[in-house]
Amino acid sequence: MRLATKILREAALVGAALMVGLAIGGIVAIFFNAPPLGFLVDMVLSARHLPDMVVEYTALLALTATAFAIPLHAGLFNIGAEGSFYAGALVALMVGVKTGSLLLALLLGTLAGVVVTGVAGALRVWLGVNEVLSTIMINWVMYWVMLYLVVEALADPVFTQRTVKVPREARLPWISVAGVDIPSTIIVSVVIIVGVWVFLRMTRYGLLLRVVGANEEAARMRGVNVGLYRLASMLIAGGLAGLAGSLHIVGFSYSIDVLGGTVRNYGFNGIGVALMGRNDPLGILAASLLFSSLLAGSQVVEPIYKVPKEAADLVIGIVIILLSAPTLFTIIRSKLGGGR
Amino acid sequence: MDNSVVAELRDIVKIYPDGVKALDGVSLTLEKGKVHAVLGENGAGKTTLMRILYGEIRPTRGEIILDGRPVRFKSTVDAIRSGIAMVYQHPRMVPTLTVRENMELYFESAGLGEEAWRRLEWATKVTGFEVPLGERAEDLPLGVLQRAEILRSLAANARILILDEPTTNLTPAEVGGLFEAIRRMKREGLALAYITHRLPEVREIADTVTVLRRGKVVASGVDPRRVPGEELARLMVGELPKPAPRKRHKPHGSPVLLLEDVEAQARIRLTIRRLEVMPGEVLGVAGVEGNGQDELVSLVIGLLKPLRGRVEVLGGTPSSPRDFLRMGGAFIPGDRGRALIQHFSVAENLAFLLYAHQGPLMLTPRSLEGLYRRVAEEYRVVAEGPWVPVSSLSGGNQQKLLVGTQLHLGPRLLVAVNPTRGLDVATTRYVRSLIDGLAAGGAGVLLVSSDLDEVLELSDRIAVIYKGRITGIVAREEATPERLGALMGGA
Repeated sequence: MRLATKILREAALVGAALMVGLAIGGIVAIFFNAPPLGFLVDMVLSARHLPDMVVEYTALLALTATAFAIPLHAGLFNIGAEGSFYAGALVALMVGVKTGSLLLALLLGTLAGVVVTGVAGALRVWLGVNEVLSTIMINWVMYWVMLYLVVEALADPVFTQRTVKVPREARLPWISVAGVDIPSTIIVSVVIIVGVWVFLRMTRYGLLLRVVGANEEAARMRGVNVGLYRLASMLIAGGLAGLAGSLHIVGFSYSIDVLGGTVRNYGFNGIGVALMGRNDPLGILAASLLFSSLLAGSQVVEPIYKVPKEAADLVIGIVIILLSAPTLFTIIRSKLGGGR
Repeated sequence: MDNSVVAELRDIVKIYPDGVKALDGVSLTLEKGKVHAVLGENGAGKTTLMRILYGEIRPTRGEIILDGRPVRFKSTVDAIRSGIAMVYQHPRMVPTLTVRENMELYFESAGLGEEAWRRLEWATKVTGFEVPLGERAEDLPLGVLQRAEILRSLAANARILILDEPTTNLTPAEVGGLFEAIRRMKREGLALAYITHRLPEVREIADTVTVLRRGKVVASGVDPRRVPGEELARLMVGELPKPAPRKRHKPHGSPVLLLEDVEAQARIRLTIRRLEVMPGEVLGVAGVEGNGQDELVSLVIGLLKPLRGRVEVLGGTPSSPRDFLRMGGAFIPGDRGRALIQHFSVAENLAFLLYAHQGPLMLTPRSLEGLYRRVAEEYRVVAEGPWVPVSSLSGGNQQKLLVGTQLHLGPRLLVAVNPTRGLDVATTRYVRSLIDGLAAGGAGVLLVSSDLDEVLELSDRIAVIYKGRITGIVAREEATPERLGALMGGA
């Protein structure tokens, strides 16, 4: 009964946020001489023409969003999913090409993500370096490392706009659901997200991790090793983002384009998705589906209505801000109040 | 009708949406120039009743009559404009604004302009309160903010002033000033409602008393000067459980806590030649706060490392609170607000307090519910269930939760810091009986308390701490408040 009303309330909130976002989007459409109603309807409903894209985005964003959510539960603000995603994608690509092993590509890709975000975690725990600064810097380092490798070492001699592709035997096969082919990355992602949910909500370690973020002093008084839990949260986060990057390579794109467009922004968008999903793994799954649908819609409306992509991004942005406001507010308040 | 009556609450019933009946047919009148004390324990419904008068919550049934006419307040703004003001236990000022800006906001909501500032001068004269208008609220002590709130209430034409447990955050000197101001406000013709659970205050300041218990009036029109204090206490609490007879075994065996030639430094320097707690013994540590109690406790639970000397707990030396808890220690910290996770559920707090140092890997909802039934119900924690946030529990129930988990650990050494601070009489008695029972069962207790009565009631021996040193250890039979007071002052 209580759960039902809670879900209804959330659904109403999402609906209201969508309405406001779309209303503003409609006004923007008018400026570009596009019929506002058609623009909006296509924005929301075009996702059905791109099921594979929606599914893939959902799978990846759910992982990168969780990579933001777990450290936040432990009291850290992790912006580093982007860098770990690059690392995961790069290493999975290289390992996949070199060894032709799917398992090895996923494993080492995930590990690369662990290392990248783990550095920021270790810096924070042992040297007190602010994780926001370090993760942003690491993101840029990873970005240029990736571009360098993509252009110099991994470029395809025939198709120069992209890297070499992962060989067929190292790819994750797609699955067919009701006659529609979709990438099976979603299965891996959902299983892991549910696992994270169980970890956070139903295990002693998950409880203590959340206590560390909620009341550091209480945790210390009971002898909880605050630093260890914080470091662990960053390692797990790095692993999730690294896995997302690897899955993208072996399950969907198979290569990286020379501009890096195939791998960009999953980490950053994950932050918005996590906030929309109230920082809860299951909420994040729902939020990534919504976000991915809008993202797919925005790609459809751009060529049809000759409206710049930014107009569609605006709609998405407003929806995110409206839906993430409560979580964002809580974070800001705890940073200002109990932060110290 | 008597024209000195300014406000009347008639048959007020308040049932919360979750079915909890907070008030059950409560009536009360406030008169000009009189202090009406509303006496009751935590959770008796005192504050709820006054929040109804103040327009903050609406009654389920019943009437509010102001100057002979029934009124219906939509919000506190309506109440303020009708001349009602309320000063809460914790000041409600915007922390980042100055006192002047806070007053301006309040005057604005009352629909007042310049005239309020002129009345502020009058209010200052009446109360004798001086407050720094230019300071930001967050930089001021709670007592100053309280005085500022009283001043702004008077300046905004309040005829009825509700004070909710006003002495909670005041020093003894400030309490004197407040009472003096209350007397002068009476002379100016204000009607005052004084919410409290403290009997001495009622006897000192109130003209008439209404006693509430579990949402019902158990006595009204009581003259506090005629009715003896024990009678008031009995009315407020109901029948008290008798304190359990002490049946202690003679302490025996090796000490459960031993400190020898210890030196440690945190905020102040702590030097202890020898301090021990035997099994079956309560060792009280008395002293004015800030004389090394925090350091002593941190040392014992493994949070602070000694610079030199030996700290032995149950035969080992804990290197962290985790160690301490694993060895068979338990710890009730002095500030429950900071020891509990307020926005986590009761069940999650239970699991945290019981299992932070060791416990099962899986904490399923079903296992947490079982924990709730075993621990929360055994220790009489009143909550609406395992899944409501701890912040929804009253202070007494939060404390019972904290104490209950620590006893459930089955400790051989309990460190308890101010275990009954801020609790009502019945809960205080219950918590003390639990600690007493633990010692009777053979565990050692280190009781650190700034409440001398508590130390005298529970301890077998009393150590007095002053400026980081133990200035004396006195056996219970030889301890008198005078002797301890002298030791606490360094004499």
